[in-house]
This record gives sequence, C-alpha cells and structure tokens, in this order.
Amino acid sequence: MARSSTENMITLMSSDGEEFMVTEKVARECTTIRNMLEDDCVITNIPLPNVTSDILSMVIEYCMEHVAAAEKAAAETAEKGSSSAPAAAKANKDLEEWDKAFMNVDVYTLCDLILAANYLNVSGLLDLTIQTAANLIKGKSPEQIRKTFHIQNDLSLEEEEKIRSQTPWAFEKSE
Amino acid sequence: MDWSGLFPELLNAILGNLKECTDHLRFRCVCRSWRYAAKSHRMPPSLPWLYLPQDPTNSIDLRFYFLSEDRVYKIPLPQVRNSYISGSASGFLFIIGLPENPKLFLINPFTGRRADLPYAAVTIFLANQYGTTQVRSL
Repeated sequence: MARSSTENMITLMSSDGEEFMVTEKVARECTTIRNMLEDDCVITNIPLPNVTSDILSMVIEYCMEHVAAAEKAAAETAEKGSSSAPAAAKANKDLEEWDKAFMNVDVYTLCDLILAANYLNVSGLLDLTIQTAANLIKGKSPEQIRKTFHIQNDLSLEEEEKIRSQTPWAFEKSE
Repeated sequence: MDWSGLFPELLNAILGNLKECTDHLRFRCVCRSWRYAAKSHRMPPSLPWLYLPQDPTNSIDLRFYFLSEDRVYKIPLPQVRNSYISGSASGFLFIIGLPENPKLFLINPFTGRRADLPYAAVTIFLANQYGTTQVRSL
C-alpha cells in the first residue's frame, strides 16, 4: 500500500525476535507506545519483550483496521462537509462485525490478547477481549467455566462445599 | 499464561462485564485466584426477580423467574411455610404467618437475613390493606 513519505515508520519487535514495521499512527493506537514516542520522538525501534509474534501481529491487525476505519470516517466528513448519519452508522456496524469475527479465537489466544492489550494499553482491544471473556462465562456453572477455559480446580472439597452451601440455588442445573 | 493466572485487575474487569449476581456467585467458585479477585468486587444489582406462585406439592421452595437468564430458580425457604408473601421491598419479602403460625417478618430469600416484626402489626397492616371484615375472617 502506498504511504505518504512523510509518515514515520516504526519497528516493533516481538519477544521471539520478529520485526513488524508499522506506521506511527498505527503504533500510537497502543497508549504504551504513544507515551514512549512522546517522551522521545526519535524512537524507531521498540522491543516488546512481553508479546509473542503471533499475538503482536493480531494486535497490529486490530490497530490497522481501527485506524483505517477512523481515517475513512474522517475523509468522508471532510468530503461532504458533514458526516452523514446513516453512513456513519453503517461504518460502525461494519467495524463491530469485523471485531466480532476477529474474536473468533481459542481461549488461549484470547487470554494472550487480553494480556497484550493490557500491556500495550489498547483500550478498544482490551474492552473487546474482556467482553468476549465475560460472554463465555455468562450462564455457565463453575464446572462448565473450568472446562471452557481449561482451568484446574484448586479449591479443596471443603472450600467448594462451603462456597456452594451459602447459595446452593445458584449452583443448581437449570431445568 | 493460563486463565487462572490472569492478574486480579483483569479478572475484575471481566467481572465488571458480568451483570448478574448469579454469574458472580458461580465465578467465585471456579478456582482460588478467581475467588480472590472477586472478593474485592461488589455484587451487581440484579433485575427484579419475579416471584412465582408456590407449587402446592412443595411448600419449602420459593420459585423465582429470572428474566436475564430466562430460567426459574428454586430457593428453599422453610421459614415461609404456613404463611403468605404479602409484598417485597429492597430484596426483602414481607411474610405474614397464617393464624396457626402467628409470625410476621421480613426475609431476604438470597441471604436468609431475617427481621422479625411484632405480630400485632398484622392486624393494623391488614386493616389498612383490606378493611376489618377480611381481617376477622382470616
């Protein structure tokens, strides 16, 4: 894709040594990186020791999509003088659909994405992943939650019995 | 990292997206770290639960319909046997004992918290509600 020559490119390096070249605008979607750039504007290479290449490429994909959507909306507003409400609503819906498809991942990837979004401080991605995790929990029994997220139950029998006995009705199977 | 090792603040953020107290109660029972994270989180206010008429064959369980989950929860509450539920406020049910069970109290069906009221108040309450004739016939 042709980029204007004035746009700064930044290299992000994953924990396993892979390099990703992104525009400064995309990198700035990560508040952690934005703060680094504001502290020292000559940074061009940022090592991210907490993020693996497969997760980093997903975070970049998310940021690129959201930057592109924002740019498109801004261009349309500039062109028409004012934003058209139906077009903006459609763009929002398209982006929501994209987010939904983007969240079609296994729970291990989801966990890594939450950690990466938290570390890089990408608030939109953090909200999206946290909401996805919450949706996977809703209406499930503790056993079903453990199974979904591959969690080992480390509560002793007595502890679990004590918790359940306080509100036994909440743990009954639905009819 | 696995899900049981997620930072408490992130588990807390997930809890913040769970709007039902039932999900919170079950979340607390998953494992130690989830339980620990949930400790500092306030239970969300639920949508009102709809009290369903009692099953005549089972006088112990109260049945509530929970709209958010579209399911019925049965909460055993033997204290309300031989009485009727006259109303509710702030999570408490107002229970009036039948004459053979002369008691008047407020009870929270979820926590079991109970506050007894003087039975003499029944007469006053019913007099206000239905007029004196019905009180006598009760």
